[in-house]
Amino acid sequence: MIEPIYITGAGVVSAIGVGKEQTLSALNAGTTGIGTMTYLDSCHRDIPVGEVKLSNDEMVQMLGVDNDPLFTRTALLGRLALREALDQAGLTRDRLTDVHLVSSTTVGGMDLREQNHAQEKTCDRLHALMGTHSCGNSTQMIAAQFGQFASLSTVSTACSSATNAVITGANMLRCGLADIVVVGGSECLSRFHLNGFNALMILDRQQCRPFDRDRAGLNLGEGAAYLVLESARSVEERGVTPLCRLAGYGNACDAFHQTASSPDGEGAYLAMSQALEMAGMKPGDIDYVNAHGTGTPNNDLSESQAIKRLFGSDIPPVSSTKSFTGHTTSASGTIEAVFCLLALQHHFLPVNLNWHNAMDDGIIPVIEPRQADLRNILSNAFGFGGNDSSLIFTIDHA
Amino acid sequence: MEELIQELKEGIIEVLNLDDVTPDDIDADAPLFGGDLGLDSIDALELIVLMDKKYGIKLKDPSEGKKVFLSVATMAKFVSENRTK
Amino acid sequence: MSQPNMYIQAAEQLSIQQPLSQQWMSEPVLTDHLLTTAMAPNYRDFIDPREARRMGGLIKRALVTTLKVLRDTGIEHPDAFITGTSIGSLVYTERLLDALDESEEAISPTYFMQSPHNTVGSALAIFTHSHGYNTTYSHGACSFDWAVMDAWMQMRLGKIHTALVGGYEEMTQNCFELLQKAGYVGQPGMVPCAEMSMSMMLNTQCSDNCLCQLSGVAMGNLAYRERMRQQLAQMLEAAHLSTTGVSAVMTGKNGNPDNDACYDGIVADLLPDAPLLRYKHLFGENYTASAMGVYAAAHCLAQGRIPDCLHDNNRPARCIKPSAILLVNQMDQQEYSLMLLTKI
Repeated sequence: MIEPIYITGAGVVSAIGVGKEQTLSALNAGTTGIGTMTYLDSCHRDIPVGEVKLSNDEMVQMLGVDNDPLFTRTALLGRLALREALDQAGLTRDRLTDVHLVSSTTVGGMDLREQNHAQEKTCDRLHALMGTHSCGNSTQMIAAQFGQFASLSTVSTACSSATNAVITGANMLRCGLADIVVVGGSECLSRFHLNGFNALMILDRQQCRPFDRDRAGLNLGEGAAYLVLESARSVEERGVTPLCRLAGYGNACDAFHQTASSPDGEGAYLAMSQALEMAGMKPGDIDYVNAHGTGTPNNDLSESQAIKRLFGSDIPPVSSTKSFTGHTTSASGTIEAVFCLLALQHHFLPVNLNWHNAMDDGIIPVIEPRQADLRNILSNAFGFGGNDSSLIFTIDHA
Repeated sequence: MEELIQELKEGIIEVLNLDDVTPDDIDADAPLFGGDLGLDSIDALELIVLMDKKYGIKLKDPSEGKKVFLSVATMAKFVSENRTK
Repeated sequence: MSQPNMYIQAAEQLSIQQPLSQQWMSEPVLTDHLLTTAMAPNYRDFIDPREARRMGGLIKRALVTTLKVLRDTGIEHPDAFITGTSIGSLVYTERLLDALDESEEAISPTYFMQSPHNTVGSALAIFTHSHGYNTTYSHGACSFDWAVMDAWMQMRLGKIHTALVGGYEEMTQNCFELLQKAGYVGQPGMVPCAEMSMSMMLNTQCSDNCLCQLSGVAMGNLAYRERMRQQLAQMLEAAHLSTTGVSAVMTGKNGNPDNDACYDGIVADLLPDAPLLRYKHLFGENYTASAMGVYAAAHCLAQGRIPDCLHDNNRPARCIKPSAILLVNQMDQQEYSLMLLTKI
């Protein structure tokens, strides 16, 4: 058991909505956000994607800022989610002096760079800035609207980025370096990674079908989400009510292949086991697993093996909410953490859409919406190269 | 066919960065995967790109590639029957 | 909470300087090129060419410095691999961008799979079959510093005892020209823009071959100067040092007036009288250049001398047998890191 790490604010943007309210109703109604490509300019129109249903201009308006040609879609998505998290935690501009931000992205400003890459040889300074926008710049751009944070950091571990940002932030609290750390990630769709995943031949031409026998790959999505992590001392001092707790976390490396998970899910198993151990829990204490569940043949089989290895014959309800949002890559860890938070607060099991047939030796996910009193949720995020991480969220019922 | 086999060997060496391998080192009838070359799933994807770029053949998924890429000889047969360029 | 000591057990580099060597201390390679590539080691001493065939230069160099450190320390599987890289495998990233400018058809999967920033750190784990903690920071000029901070936190928490921490960066002509237009490198009077790979082993156990102690690390926002001063004060107190106990301050001055003025301001705030060192004229500028500063300072402390080539002529640290070096690094004149290295 560790000192409590409270979550006192959360913000989310994904294909199923802007903010927790829209997100909750979509999760409850079973309405997917995956559909036809509208905002991304790619020739692969036949590939379904989980886009946030807002243009960049609309996001600029919602944020109430002046437009800037350097705004990346990743930054705009990030700002929408960060604003909601800070608002909920009551962290105004003057309080940021003591608030740290650990953000994450991999694609970062690639949306702008890929539009201008062909002209880079002769471009002006403005476009040179677009071409050199790094992951760290992305964090700076997201933060800039809200004031001066005590420190900024950026994690980049591909699809587990946001989860690892949570871990870094939690370690900062536990070391006493901070009392409040905002953690999360943001990632927009880009032609760069759409084509990259396409080249790896792991994009489903239909709506993705996590854990289904006939699953044929993932759908890419986009979005952002942030959580406000806060120490017990700060929660007491500020008199805020925690939403839930981060009870444990684990990070391990599958060390198998740059783009494939090991057949036995070693990294995933280690990450989940470590999270349980830190939380002082037994497998039987977990009431729901929010799986990484991308929908690729490889991931879902490997993750199934790891889950079976950990839980034995007594597997808790499992689902992959990527069937709602698509795979939001670097942001998925905290987007799904917000889903877990909503499930804890509103007592329901998020369903796994598009599942019809059991895979050989695979887990059978939750497909019927149902009420459930949840106490502990385990959430997985696995990245390229086997950067596997797991988080456990707990709600303390009165 | 001999010419195509030689061309395929050279193409494979180039796209898979097999710097220390010469075309003569590759037995046209030996298994490409699971053998001495140490090729993996990413190499299979690179070969799919090679088929597309050089011969105008589009393979839809890696499982289709598996049969085609059994050996250089099976690749050559498939290319000669299906090439569009 | 018990506070374990942390030591830099080994640190190796590939850069402008002679590969995997401390020869730069006596015979530094100096260049006036605006952009230089890293000097190549004999890769075959470390990696089977077949295994390396899809690896870009960045990953190969990271592997070589890492494997050298693992060999020298005899630690096969460190508890953690923590990587700092701001731009990652830039060469492959730009190859994919070039390909996309042509067409979105028939894209090579290798370009993409090598492009995420964490490819470096995970390649190290895959190559060494290490299942421990593994993460990557991509936070501009503080990428490496956050990697050190992560290791430092987890050692304090008792979660890990050994960590392979590294800073890795490569450069392309195209990206250099963009960064030049953006004003980051390639300005008149600036040190060269360069590639670098630095791997070091942090260990909570002190052994005979340790280079120095990592006595403190702190990160922050330059808007909060008072906090920065407090962080230094706490760091010095924990190391039982007074301000005069700091032998020298090593900054990331690179010849760019704005950058250098920022360092002058920080030093004036922290230790206005301390002798100054610099390292970027030897190892070049790039986002994880701060790793080279730590590397250079660690070897100075291990050898008990500061070579002439490191002196900042504004306030040289001549004839000093160093016992503590404070490293100051800043990012975009907005954020900073402080690291205190002390002799064993």
